[in-house]
Amino acid sequence: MTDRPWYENVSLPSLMREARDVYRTAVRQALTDAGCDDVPRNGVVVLAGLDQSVPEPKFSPQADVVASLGLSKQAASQLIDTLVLREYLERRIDPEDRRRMGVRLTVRGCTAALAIQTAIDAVAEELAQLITADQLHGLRAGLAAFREIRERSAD
Amino acid sequence: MPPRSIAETYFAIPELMRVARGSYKRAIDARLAAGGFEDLPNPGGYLLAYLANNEESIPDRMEGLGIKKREVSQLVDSLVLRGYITRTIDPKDGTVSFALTERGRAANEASAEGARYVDEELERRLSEAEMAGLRRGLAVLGEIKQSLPGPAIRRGLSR
Repeated sequence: MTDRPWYENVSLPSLMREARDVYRTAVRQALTDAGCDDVPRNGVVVLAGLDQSVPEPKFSPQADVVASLGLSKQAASQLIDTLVLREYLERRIDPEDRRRMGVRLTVRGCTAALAIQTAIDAVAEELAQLITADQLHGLRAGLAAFREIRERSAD
Repeated sequence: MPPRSIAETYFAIPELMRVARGSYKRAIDARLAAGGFEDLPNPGGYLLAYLANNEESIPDRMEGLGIKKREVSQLVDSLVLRGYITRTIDPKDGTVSFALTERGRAANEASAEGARYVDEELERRLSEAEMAGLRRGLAVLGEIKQSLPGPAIRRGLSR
């Protein structure tokens, strides 16, 4: 009898589904532990992408910060409002172009961003301990292929 | 300069996981729509597949996918109401059993066809070693997720 790993008998859609929320679960736990459990779902991507320089993080254009989220202008604006109200972000009018807004992390925002990064790093570290470099390459290539196939299915 | 590949554009695994989502769903949804099964509730396809394969402990398999017992119960109700499965209660001992209807079998075949398309495309694009790495990597990520809220649940993963 061959000693095949259990996951050889599991379909790829099931493996994808079981794996898909690993980062979100880890980040949620880390944010809760850091006292930041009110970060909205898309807010994690915003906070993680901002400058974390100490003691004065740099301002980033608000439009750039939300660009990768694929949200409508209104939804993106509401997300930033929420993050400002919950004291994760500081917002100001760009002094060089008064038509634009800039945002940066507050102290609470830096705490949350650090928790997010730590959680992501911990998953990456555990992953690196459990799979080889070749397997990691396969994982990356496979995930990229999924994206390409998805786009092709839309045609 | 040649355009960068997706794997090069998105450096971190979380980003790649994000952009990879929905590949099976899109392919399966297209086939379900073509077959007139747009009302198949999500994630009813898994349940139909488990029934078709005579899987044991279906509730456990569904829970393993992160679907709560209450949600499974609601899903079953929807599948019965929409004619995908039948529910039979044994009058002798009250045991409940489920079976696919003809509509359920056809929907399951349409879902399977969508999933096959993605699997075949993957095999065409990836080497055998990359496929093995993908499976192993996803399995490990799933196990890491299971270990997060409480004590680690390992299923004998060795390097």
